[in-house]
Amino acid sequence: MAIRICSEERFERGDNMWSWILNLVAVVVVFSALGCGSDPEHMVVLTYDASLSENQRGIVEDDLRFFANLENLTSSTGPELLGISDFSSLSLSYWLAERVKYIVGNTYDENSFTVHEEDVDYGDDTSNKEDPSDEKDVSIGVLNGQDTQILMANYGGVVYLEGKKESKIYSISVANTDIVVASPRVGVILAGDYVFTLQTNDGSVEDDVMRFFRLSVLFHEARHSDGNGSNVCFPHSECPEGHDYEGSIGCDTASNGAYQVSVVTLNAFYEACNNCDSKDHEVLTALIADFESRILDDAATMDIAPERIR
Amino acid sequence: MKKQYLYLAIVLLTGLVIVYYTNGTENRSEPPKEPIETPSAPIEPSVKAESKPKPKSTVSNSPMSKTEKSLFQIQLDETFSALPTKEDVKGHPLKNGELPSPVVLEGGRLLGTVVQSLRNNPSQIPEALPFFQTCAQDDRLATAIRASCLRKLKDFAKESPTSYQVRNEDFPKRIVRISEKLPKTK
Repeated sequence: MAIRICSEERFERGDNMWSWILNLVAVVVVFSALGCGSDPEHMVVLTYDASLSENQRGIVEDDLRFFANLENLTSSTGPELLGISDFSSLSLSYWLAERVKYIVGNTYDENSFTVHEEDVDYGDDTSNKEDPSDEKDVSIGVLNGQDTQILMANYGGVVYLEGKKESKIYSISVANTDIVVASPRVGVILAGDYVFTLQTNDGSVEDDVMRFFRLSVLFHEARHSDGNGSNVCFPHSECPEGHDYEGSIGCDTASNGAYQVSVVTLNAFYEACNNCDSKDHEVLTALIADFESRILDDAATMDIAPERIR
Repeated sequence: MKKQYLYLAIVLLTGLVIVYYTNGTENRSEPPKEPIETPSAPIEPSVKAESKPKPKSTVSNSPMSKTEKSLFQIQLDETFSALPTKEDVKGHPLKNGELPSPVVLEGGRLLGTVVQSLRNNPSQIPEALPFFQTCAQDDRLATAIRASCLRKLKDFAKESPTSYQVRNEDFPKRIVRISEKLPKTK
């Protein structure tokens, strides 16, 4: 028997109000059992370290919920770039979940990493020959609260690179869990305080456009969980002379690197944003242009397969 | 008798001078029968434009009132002055430079106010095209903003009731390449 609700006809026929209320309760129970109003099944579930405040955690979770509910995401180049069959939020969620698993906050203690194993042979001839990289030092320096603000960083990747440089495997503690960093795919992302305060002048951190921005940064960091050999973690390179970010480690020689991921995801978000007004759309456009400007003219496609030492 | 002629001549001459002066004054103060034509060219964004020639105005057929036109031009001028430069981008505390400077977001929002005006009043499009062109050609502005401006220029030129030619050769290749990766203006 079909459950009917809000039918004036029922009252006219003399059914009492209790019958109608019971029917309504039944509908609510059935809908709850079917999952109406709850999070989508494919919403990415992350583990959050205590260094992330409750408010920040709430923003990340709301962003992921918002993303899981997005419909009509399309991209002509995105599936090939990310190695997925389609550009739905479902496929993208699985892609993201493989690369991002933990979020730590600005106050995360970078000294929590310990040596898990020494004298490790990383098996490629670039591992121990690299000079100490300023990029890695800067990233760790960020954690020390030095003179730089940060939006997000792939901390797991930084630790993996550090281990590779030192021929060691490190272990880090996140959310009371010891994680052996034997691959850039450990997926530990640092979210700086700054990412939770950034907004356009007439907006708030909860505007759709800012959610899209934070999500694009999360996807960007996810790409740093990929790569192998000299391209492990898809590191950025120094922006050349004359570039807006000249001298910064903020450009890509990979045409399928983190900035390209940002470009593709933001383009899809731009098209999917039903609540965006012209200003929101132009903020997204400016972001896409900024990311695109960082892909250098001679950028080439690189292997995304992640390396793993154990 | 001669003195009388002399006095008469002086009086006549004085009278002529007075009549001439009065007529001249009346002519200068007389309201024009037709409205005064002001130049139809928009107020050029003057602050940061580089030495390249300014694009010609295409606004002569605009049906808007003079007041509306003036207000929109003021908006364009103010927007142009506030657009972020490369120096603004470098000056932000995100010194590692891995992610966009917030001034780029703000620049996008500023361009968004112009786009919103054009969506509300498409007759303003011809006036906005020189703004976008100047923006896209100004090498002091942030690259992301220049590329965004070029994208707007191309999109709105197609919607403009008056012809406005946009040639890729007039812009740096890098700006053209980036602009081509941007979504169509909504």
